[in-house]
Parts: sequence; C-alpha cells; structure tokens
Amino acid sequence: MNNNNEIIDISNLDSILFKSFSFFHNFCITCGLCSSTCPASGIEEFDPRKIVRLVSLGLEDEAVQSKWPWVCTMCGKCENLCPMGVDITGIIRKIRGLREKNKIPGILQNGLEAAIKTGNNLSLPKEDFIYILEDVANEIKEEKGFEDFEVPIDKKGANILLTIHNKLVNTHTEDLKHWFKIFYAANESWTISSENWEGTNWAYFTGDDDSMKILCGRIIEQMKRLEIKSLLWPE
Amino acid sequence: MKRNKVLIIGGGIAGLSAALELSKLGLESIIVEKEKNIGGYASQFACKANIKCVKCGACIVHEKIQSVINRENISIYTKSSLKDIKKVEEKKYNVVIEKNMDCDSEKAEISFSINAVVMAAGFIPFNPKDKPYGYQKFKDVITNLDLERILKSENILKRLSDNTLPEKIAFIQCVGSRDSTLNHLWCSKVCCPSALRMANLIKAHQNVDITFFYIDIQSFGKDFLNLYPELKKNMKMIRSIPSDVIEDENGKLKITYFDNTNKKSIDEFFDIIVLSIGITPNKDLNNIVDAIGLQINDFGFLNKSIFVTGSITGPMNISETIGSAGITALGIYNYLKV
Repeated sequence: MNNNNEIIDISNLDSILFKSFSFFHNFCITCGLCSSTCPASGIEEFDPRKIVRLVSLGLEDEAVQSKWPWVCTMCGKCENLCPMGVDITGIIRKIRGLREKNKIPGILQNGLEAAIKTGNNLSLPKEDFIYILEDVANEIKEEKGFEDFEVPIDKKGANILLTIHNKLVNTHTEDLKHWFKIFYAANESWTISSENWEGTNWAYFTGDDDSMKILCGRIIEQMKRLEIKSLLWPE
Repeated sequence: MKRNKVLIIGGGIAGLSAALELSKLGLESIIVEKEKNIGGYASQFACKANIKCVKCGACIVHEKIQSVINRENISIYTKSSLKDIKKVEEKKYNVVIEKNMDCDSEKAEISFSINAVVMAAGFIPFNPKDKPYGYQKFKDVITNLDLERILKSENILKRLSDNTLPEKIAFIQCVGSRDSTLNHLWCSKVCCPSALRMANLIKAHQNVDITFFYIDIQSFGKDFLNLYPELKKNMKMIRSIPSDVIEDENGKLKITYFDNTNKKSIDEFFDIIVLSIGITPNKDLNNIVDAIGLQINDFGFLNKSIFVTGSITGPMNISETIGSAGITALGIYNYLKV
C-alpha cells in the first residue's frame, strides 16, 4: 500500500480508528494460516492476513480503496481455519460495503441495481421469463418418460418454492432441466414464482445490507403469496 | 522441623528439583510419580549441543535424577498415584498412595501422614491428531516431542516410514498453542527455542534443507536472543503457518503455504514434518486440587501458590522450572517453620 519511503505516523495505527467495525478483529496473531489456505492468495498480491492487518491497524481508507477485498471469493476457508476465530469474510463484506457505489468493480452494482428495480439482475420481463421456462418444459416433454411434464408457475400451496439463478434463464437453460427432472422423478410438489424469482443476491457480495434485505424480503413475500413453507434457494 | 514430611506429586524436573531443595533444607520428601521412571518429559529431551553447548538444559535433568536417587531423605514411589488426601489439621494431611498401578496382582495401598503437599504434576502435550497436518495418519509427520526422543538416541534422523534419509524437513510451530478455538490462548514458550535448536542439530549431522514455519519467534530464556541469529542462518524462515499436509503416492508430504516475501501461494514437498505441539494443562488432578485448596485458572493451569511448582502453573522451560521449584521449596520451608 505504502511505498517504502513514506513515513507512517504509528500513533495512528490503531484498530479503534476503523470505526465502521464492531467486532474483535484486533485478535489476529498474524499466524498466516488464512493466507496459506486461501485459494486466492497471491492474486494481485492479495492475502487475507494483509486485509486483517489493515483493519487491525485502523487503516480504513486504505482497506476500502484497495483491490484486495474484491479479489477474495468469500469461500470462508480462512475463517474456518483461523485459530483466533476472526470473522474474515465478515471483514471483507464490511470493507466492500464501505466503497462508493460507483467504484464497485465489474458488473456487480449494475446487476444489483437492475434486481432492485426489476426483480432480477437481467431486467428480464415477466412474459419472457415464463416463455423461457415453458420452452425448457417443452424440451423436457420430448424426452422419454417426461411426456406429461409441466413447469408449475405460481402454484399456490406447493411444498417447495424454487428460486432461479439468472444465468439459468439466460445462457445456461440446459441446467434448469436437471432440477426439473429430479423434481418430476421425485414426484415433488414445487413451483417457481413469476415475480421476484431471482436466486442471486449480489448485495451479499457488495456488502450492501439494505439491498440484501430487500431482495431476501421479496422472496419471503412470494412464499407468503403462494402459501409455501419450504424454500429451495440454490444460489 | 526434622520430622516434617512433604508429599510431592509428580517426579518430573519440577518435583525432583523441589525435593532436592527441600532435602538441602533438611526436610524429608516423598515423590509420587505415575510413570515407571522419574524425570518426566524433560528426561526424554535430547542434548542439542552442536559444536558447543546451546544451554537447552537437557543434561541437568539427568543430574537431578542422579542426585535425587542418592539422597537419603527423599523417597520415591513410581507407578503410583495419590488415591486419597484428607486434611486432619493445619499442616497435617493423611494420604493414601496406590502403588504399582500398572499391575493388578502387585497393586497395593499405603497410608501415612504428611505436613505439606507440592503439586508438580506438570503438563499434558497437545495431541495434534485433529489438526489438518495428518499426525497419526502419515508416519513422517511427527511432533517435537517425538523428535526429542529420536535425537536423544540417534545421531542421524531418518524417515520413520521407510528408514531413508530426508532431504527436506519442515517445522510447523504453534500447533495447539495460541488458538482460541481450543481455548489455548497461551504461548507454550519452549517450542521456538527447542525446535530451532533441534533443527540446527540435525543440520550439523546430515545434509538436509530445513524450512521453519512460524508466527513470531518467542525468545524466552536469557541466552536465546544471542543464539537466534546463528540458529536461523541455515534455515528457510517462513512467517506463516501452513494450512494442511497431504501425502502423495510417493510418500512425500505436501504443504501449501503463503510465502510472504514473494507474495505467492506455494506447494512444497517435504520428507519429514515436525509439529511443535503446545503445552496444555494437566487437568487430571481436580480432586487433589480441591483437597489442598488450590485454584485453577480459566485455562486449566493452577494459580501460583507456595504449594504449586513447574509447568502445572503454565508453560515453562527447564531452567525456569528449576527456579520455580527452588522458590516453592523455600516457601514450604518457611510455611512449616512457623
């Protein structure tokens, strides 16, 4: 972060200065187990220990402006091994959430805004969504043993509500068939909501708690509307 | 004063040193040791002298054992344990010792009175089998304690799996220490100095590459800081702890670690991996602790008192233990004198 000739005032290195943070990050003993186990260690010079150090030293701006929190995949291997129980993915999410929205890398913020506005990351209209699902259902019907397959959309009182990852109605429609065929073979009572069906929640990745709650809440609303008790949220 | 007897629980370096000091002060001691030999873990430690003595303290243990055996006012019960202890009055306890615990036909109980008890029951080495390093799964993953025992009898370290000479050895520090998930928040203190000394000893006798994975070197002991620059010279020092060990089809042990200097994640293969396991509290003695009014701290070690000595109060090395036993002996002497 700092090049070697930059003078650092060490009186400013204090975890208390990382004001946006409430938990016990100062507990890190810098053992490096997180960095050893991290599958992303070394990418863009990232390793989890450095992020925890930035936070422990109260370097909030440096952490927020750094690329590193966005290199992490939040797989959680690090915190699973951490001997001091530091919530490393929690730290990463918190730092991501502190970034200005227009500086969030890649398509994350665009997809999230589309989801908040239209109910799914692709801004896919309801008619198109239903058309794609029925198209897939028709393809399944052509297979032996699935002749009477129907895709149950908005079926009240079904046992399971299934959310859909947007890529499954975009580039990966073949993958929908596996799910559908398993339900069919298991004689399961299931359904898909025609509205707010989005199974991804990119607010989880951008650290945007408010948006995350909105998207989660919408799924709960669909469960209530359709009187369904079980949720299958594969993403 | 002459007839005062002190019961010492534990015949390790702490108990032996306390008995010797008490003996010099004219007090009679009875040592109860559960193993068949006295000397404890420290008696299994190898001398780590290379060209010159590195002050590891291993030889002192054997001097202590000899001295204790030669003393008339020290009696020793090995393979024995304290079965019962009752306080009769101030400075008087009735105790029952079970002898020959390991043999049903020779098992026997003896009862007598004592005037004070010294708890010197030592520590329990951390068992790393649940850590992701394959201990007890892969033969060539050993502990620092295993390595002590090997180096005590062998000049050359070989792989336990196939008896071949290792080309690369890794030491992993802090296994079971400084670990809040285990509620082991302490540093075990002895592992950095002893592991580095052992690594250096191995290098003196055989051609081998050694990598030392550590958090930060804990330099307890007044001589260690002078020694450290010399010790680390011949090793690759990596300041991060590896996350796991996997054995490949050729019996090589793969470690994945983050190389802080090159900022890269590295897979490297080793022939032997030594885990520096922590010192954990001896929790086996709670009934005695209650009977003599001692207190256990949040981590399971005993709070310091004049009746407690050595590593049962927390990690300490040989010289610190001997020092602690000296203080205890003097404390007991003053306590009984009054």
